[in-house]
Amino acid sequence: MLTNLVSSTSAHSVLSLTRQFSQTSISSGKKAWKFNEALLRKKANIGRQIRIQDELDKVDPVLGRADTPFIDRIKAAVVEPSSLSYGYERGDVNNLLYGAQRALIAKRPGYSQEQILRTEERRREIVARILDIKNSSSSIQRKLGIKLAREEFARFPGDSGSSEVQAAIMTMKIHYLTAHMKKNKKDFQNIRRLRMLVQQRQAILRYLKRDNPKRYYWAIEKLGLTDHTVTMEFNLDKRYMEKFKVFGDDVLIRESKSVESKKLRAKTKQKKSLRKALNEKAAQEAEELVEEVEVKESSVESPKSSEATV
Amino acid sequence: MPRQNFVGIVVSQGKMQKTIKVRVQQGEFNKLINKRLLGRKDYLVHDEGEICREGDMVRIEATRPLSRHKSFAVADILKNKGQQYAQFQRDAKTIVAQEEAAKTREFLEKRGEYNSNVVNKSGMINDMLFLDKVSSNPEASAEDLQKQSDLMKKYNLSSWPTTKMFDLDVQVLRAQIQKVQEQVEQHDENNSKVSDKVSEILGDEGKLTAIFEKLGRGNPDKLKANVRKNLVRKYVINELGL
Repeated sequence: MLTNLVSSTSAHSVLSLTRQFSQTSISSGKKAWKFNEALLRKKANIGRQIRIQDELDKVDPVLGRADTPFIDRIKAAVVEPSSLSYGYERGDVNNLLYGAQRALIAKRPGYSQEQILRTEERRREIVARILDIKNSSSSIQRKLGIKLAREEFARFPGDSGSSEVQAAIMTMKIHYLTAHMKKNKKDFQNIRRLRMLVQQRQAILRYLKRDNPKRYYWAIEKLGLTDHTVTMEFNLDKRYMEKFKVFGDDVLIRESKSVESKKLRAKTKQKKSLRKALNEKAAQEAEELVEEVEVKESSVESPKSSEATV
Repeated sequence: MPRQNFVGIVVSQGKMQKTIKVRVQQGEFNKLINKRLLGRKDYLVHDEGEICREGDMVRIEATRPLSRHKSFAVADILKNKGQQYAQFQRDAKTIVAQEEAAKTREFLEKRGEYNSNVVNKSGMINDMLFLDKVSSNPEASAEDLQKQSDLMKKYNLSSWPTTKMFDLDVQVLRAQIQKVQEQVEQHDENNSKVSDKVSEILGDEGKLTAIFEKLGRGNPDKLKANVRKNLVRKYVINELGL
């Protein structure tokens, strides 16, 4: 038995000397390569999903895109000194005031015209102060804003009910109510009204998309909204308020410990990958720089060498 | 055996590579409640060219399994509504940008005009006062007269002192009212003419069948009374050319 064993080992040693097994390492096998490829693909897909979601989440579902020209213009027009409060038009008021002055001159032939003119001018100043939009209440300003928005979205002069007009009116109300909410954190009644308004606007815009898609895309582009903000499920809750910093950096929702630690882990992971990417980029840039320098050096050397040949 | 075939609406696109989500709605008759119940199912579908857009109506066909959750591919785009939407969205961007640029320019011009009026103390009332002064002064300078004619042009006035701006032009208003009145009368007359003719046709069986044959509607008795009347009414309006 012993001899047998000895002979077998000797045979093995002989074999190993004569035949060499080529062995591929586990990490470079076909299966492992495939697995690795799949992992990379999955990683890329997850990254893309996150990017798409981030892009969609950037737009505020309540206020829309920041710097929407339409909203900015209406807000500026409301506090413009040329506009009047109580819904008066400047042309009408001017006509009336001039007519009054003329009537007064005609009625009192005995009075000196200059004095009448002076008193009338003073009266005009008083009227101007009363009708100045800066001295009016916020509700009058809001009404003016709504009127301007309605006129711009109307399908025909006097249109006050088409879907896009309704959406525009709601948008103006939403903007004014949001400003109110920021100042009055505890006005829950108005916060509720705002919440309902936002969802009502979504509903009417969704109807418009079915009814007249061309007009729908025009309206949302003008109001600074996106298709996603209209069609998404949205509730104006504390999570939204915290995300879009309605009350500054206040923490409105306390997460449980497990959720918090999960978030922290995700954040550190993101940071790590970002740092890695930056490092890779820096390394690449450095390599490029080195190459550039080398090319320059060679170009500097070449004329010398050419001189030498000459 | 034919391949499995469904028609559905694209509900999600652009989130996965070469893959869309298609919602298929199918009904099944439930014996227990004696009623057809609708059910929906979402399929992940292969879209090689990535041409489908959200809202398209597509026909999908079974293939060999393409991945763990995907064993269908787009066969036809039946209605390219989603692609239309995408086109509208692209157009809206340029249209709104142009519109906004024009409106902002208008706004700034209006503001500039108002500010210059404030600085120069011009404005409408001052212009009118100036016109008063010049018209009452027989020895006005050429410069003033030139300014006067400019202002008259600006406010679209033919003479000074004017009644046009402050009084109603009663003659013109009367003419307008007269015109509207005539339109209303004409409308009433047309209406009565049409309703007379319609009732006459509905009373006469022969005429009615003749008209329905002409319209290609078959037997008039098979339709509801209101539908029959509506069709005849449309026919009469068309015939009279109103």
